[in-house]
Amino acid sequence: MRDIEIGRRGRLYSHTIARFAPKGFNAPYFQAFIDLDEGPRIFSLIGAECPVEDGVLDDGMEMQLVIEPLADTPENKEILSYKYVPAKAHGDA
Amino acid sequence: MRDVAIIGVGAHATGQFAGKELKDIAYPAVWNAIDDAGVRPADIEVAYVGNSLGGLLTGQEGVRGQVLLQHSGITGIPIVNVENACASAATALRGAWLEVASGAADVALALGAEKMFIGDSARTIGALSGVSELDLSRMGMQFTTSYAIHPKINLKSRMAEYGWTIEDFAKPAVKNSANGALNPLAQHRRQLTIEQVVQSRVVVDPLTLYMCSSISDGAAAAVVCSLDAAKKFTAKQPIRIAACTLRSGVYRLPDDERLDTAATTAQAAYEQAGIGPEDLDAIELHDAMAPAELMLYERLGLCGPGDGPKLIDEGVTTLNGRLPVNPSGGLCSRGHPVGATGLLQIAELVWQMRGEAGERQIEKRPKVTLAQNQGGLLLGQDSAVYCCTILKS
Repeated sequence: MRDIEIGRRGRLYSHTIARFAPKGFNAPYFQAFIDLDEGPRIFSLIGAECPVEDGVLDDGMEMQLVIEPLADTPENKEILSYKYVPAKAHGDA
Repeated sequence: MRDVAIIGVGAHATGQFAGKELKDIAYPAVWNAIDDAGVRPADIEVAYVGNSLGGLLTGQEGVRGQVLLQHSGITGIPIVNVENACASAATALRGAWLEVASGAADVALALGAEKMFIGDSARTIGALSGVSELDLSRMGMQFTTSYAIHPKINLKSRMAEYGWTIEDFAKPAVKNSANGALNPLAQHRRQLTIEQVVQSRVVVDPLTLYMCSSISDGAAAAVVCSLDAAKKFTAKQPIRIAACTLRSGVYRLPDDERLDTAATTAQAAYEQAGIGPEDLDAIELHDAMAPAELMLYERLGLCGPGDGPKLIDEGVTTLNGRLPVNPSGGLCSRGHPVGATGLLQIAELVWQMRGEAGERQIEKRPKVTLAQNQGGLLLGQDSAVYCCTILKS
């Protein structure tokens, strides 16, 4: 057994805008699946820098990891989570 | 293994019952099934009780089956609690079936009961999120989202891949609402139009409110016994359980080409019953979100990829079509009290097969039917639980 590091980069597999949020989240918000470069497909939220509007994300686009509070709510603002945002050309997560 | 028959079914109406506790909803289902079967409570040797959310929503975390059945007057016998998310009731039926098929018992009871309406939708939806793997629900993933973009259904990508439209997604809701309108047990008894479904508010793009099943209370029960002993209890036609298959989701990487588990569960049921999809006369299936019915047509082998909407356009799956699907109204109209749904499906099929379905009776009384029930959500791109039951008269 050895640890390996995965998840810095991937591609957007699918996404939608949830217009209704469970407790601890603010609607509307993006929900997405990301195909990581290393193989697994994971569920993820999208980083707060992305405006929640149609046309901002395209399935298949390159994505990169960000770490930020799970949601800007009393329940979740102290919890750090992985999220993804569209990859920057020379950016580094 | 012995042949096993369902000799009695019963249900409590589905809806939101502010003044009723879980046991008040379970009791009529149990007694209607006992009366229908012609058995005495003392004849029941073992019971399996399905419930999913009662721990979180009522606080009765343990022994719910023993509590529910004690208040129905059934005590002392072995009682097994079954939690398998939205497939709890079908899993309970499987337990009762195996008890009798194996010869361990001659008469067994399966009950599914759920109390979702507690006057606090956020708490109910929170509890429902708890039947997804926590790694998903903690990040705000909901069942609606899973149907919209989760790889197992991915309705958004079907729009691109198959050319399906938002109107296509509305078609199962409209078809099933016509059936539900005829069902006195149904939660929603209003015939919907395509326009009403499409124009209801968006919950998670592309799903609108009337494409989603709603918060619901309800219960259903079935009494099973060995086929040979059926005549001893009732003059009614025994309904044989020809297959009952249960599978769990598998972990899939994106390039996994294995068949979807809803499909493999159905194939296993067809094999066990010695039939194919072309032999079916009626189906109750798990349309927790209406457009899932279109995908399930494919998974059950009823049509080729992308052809789901055609089955509705051509009237194949309407109440008096060649293969009626969801004659009860399905999960969106009849209702989806999650831990009761699998047995509500079974009760509907038994009534249809006996010709007891009233205004919604399928004219050509079905002889071979299938119930498909599933539940929960795993990280590995599958639902957690899949069940298929085939009944023959």
